[in-house]
Amino acid sequence: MSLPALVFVILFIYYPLVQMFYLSAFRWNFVNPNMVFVGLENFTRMFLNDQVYLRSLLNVVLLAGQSSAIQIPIGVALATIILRYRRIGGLFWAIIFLPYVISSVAVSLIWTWMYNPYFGSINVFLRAVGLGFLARPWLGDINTALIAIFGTVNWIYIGLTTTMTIATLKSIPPSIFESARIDGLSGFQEFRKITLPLLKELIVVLMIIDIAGAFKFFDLIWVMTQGGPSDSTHVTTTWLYRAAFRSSEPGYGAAIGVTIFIFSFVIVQLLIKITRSRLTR
Amino acid sequence: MVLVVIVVVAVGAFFLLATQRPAEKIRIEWWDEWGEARLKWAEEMKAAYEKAHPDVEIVIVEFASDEDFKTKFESAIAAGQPPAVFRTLGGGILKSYVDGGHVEDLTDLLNEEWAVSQIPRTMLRQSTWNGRHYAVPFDLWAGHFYINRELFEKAGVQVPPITSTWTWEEFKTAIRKFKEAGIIPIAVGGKDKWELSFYYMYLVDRLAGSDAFRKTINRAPGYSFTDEHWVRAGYLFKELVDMGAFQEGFIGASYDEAQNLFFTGKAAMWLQGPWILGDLFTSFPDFPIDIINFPTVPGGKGDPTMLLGAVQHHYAIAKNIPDNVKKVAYDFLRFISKRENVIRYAELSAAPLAQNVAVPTENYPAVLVKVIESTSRASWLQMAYDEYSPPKFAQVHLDSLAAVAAGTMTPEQMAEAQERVARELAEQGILPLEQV
Repeated sequence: MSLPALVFVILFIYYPLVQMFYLSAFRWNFVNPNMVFVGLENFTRMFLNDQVYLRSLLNVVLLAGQSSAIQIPIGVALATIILRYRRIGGLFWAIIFLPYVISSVAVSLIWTWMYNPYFGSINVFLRAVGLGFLARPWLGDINTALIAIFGTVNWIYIGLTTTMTIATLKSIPPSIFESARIDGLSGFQEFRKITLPLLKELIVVLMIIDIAGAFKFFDLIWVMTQGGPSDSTHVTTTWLYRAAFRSSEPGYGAAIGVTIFIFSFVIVQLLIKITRSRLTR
Repeated sequence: MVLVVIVVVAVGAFFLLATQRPAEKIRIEWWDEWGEARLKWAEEMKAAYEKAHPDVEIVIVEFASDEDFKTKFESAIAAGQPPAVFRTLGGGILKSYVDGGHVEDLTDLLNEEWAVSQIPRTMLRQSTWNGRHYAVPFDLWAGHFYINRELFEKAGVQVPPITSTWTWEEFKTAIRKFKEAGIIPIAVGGKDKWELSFYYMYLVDRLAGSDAFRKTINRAPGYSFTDEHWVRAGYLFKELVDMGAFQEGFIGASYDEAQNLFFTGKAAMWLQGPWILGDLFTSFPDFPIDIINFPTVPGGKGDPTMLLGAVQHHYAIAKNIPDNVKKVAYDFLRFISKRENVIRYAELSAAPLAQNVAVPTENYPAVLVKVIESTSRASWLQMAYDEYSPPKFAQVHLDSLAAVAAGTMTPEQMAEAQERVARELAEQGILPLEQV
């Protein structure tokens, strides 16, 4: 019964993967029948001569880092609050989960208009409350574009983090919390001594999701800035797309793909290893 | 049991019906990034052609953007399933398809009697290599400053007549007046980068004349992208950026955002091609629209009647398709090039024609008549660099210019980056594109 699935996996995952490694050693332009073998030239170019590639790697690290540092604490805090005030918590939960359900292209377009320097609701709001000096072209300024994108990313994914935390917390037997209360632990102590340790596994899972997510992140940045202004918001995938399809250099694009594959593979293996050794202790 | 029999019979009947279709029609796929107006033309052509040829099916395939088209087209070629008839903008991209052996040589078709009289040979420039023609040109575009006359009046700026133009100083004075009046002088969508390129290309031509780009990109001896005028064009562009000629945050603004500023009367000027008019007249039929030329620059050697522009839409035939399909594709190309069909094209698309076919001017909006007259006066049409050049050069050109606009690159660095990639492409044999 699993044969059809196997065929699909081979056809759409393993075959393209092999093809990607193969292509990464060539210079080609899609349409010319002659592919020029260049060995590792694409890779040396990437790491020695391509400032934007290096910048895009940094941006991936920043994206993964800020996602973990912001989404996880806020998600856990919101989950705790929602579970404590169950009556309105449900509604609140639905509202913060909503962005995750909307198509990311739609979200990107909505936020692009919200960030618009002239018509955007953010600047209009800032000017209306007398904070006009803070108003700026959010996506049109190399100092704020990346931060603006991070804002949108967090808006989308905090709902997911919260939901996963709620699911985990709900699976903890209530008797543990009851006995804690009988032992006289305050709310904060309860959170620190009981809730947090029980969430450790989840937090590692969320970090893996954040890191893997950062490496495959594409649509939001492509719609909002196309990697601009001045290539300051590229991540590795957008730069791959640009190289392969805009500059018509599929070989170079494939080489970028190879590095994405290797980086994410190594990092995730590492994280899984750390988790295993910690969780089994 | 009964159910099984019914299912078997139904499935059998389905296959029987499916295989008993009438004789296969010849399918002609027709690819273009149509847009509403031109799609209407395509549908009329399809209906008329299919009526006359019941054995042919024209399949119109629509693409959302040029990029969408390019990606799908290259995939189709790589997969060996190219569309029979497709649109091209000519230039470096078409050249790369021709070099790959994917485009039918249309020299014989274009030397047929009707074509010789109807299609001026100068219009074949972008689709001819080694004396062989590869595409049939349909329309032209030209870049002008589209302006809002009302805002000019409000700011007290005189509109220069289309037969002359501002000097650089007059241009800057006008920009200052707009700023004083609280009007955005120029809207530009810097996110897509090609809008920024319009300024740079005009400045290079104004400074160094129409030959500069063609000679430099085709590696003529004695020409380099590090020559002084390439750097100076960068600085003049930067001068506009620094004096706030463009709207706030323009480097992150899309075409749509720039369009919005201009259409809603927030910005006085927008450097664009006639394609903006369709949308403008749909939403704002009474818009006080007009066009003016790009200013001259001090000490510039370029002819001020030169325009940014080119033959835009051409149609070509794929080389690697079955002979019977190819035969119909030729016939279809002749059909859509018939005089009355070309006139219909002009009426619907509101674009200046690249063919020697007179369109009654009352069928065009007044501003478009002005565009056409200005185009016919032009001493030279400068094709956009990113269409003329190999994609890799185009990308470096666009990226560096956006970086200059953002202040993360100097015009000198931009000039060097362009020269470096041109040399690299020359080493790989991709440049020159033509002998100059």
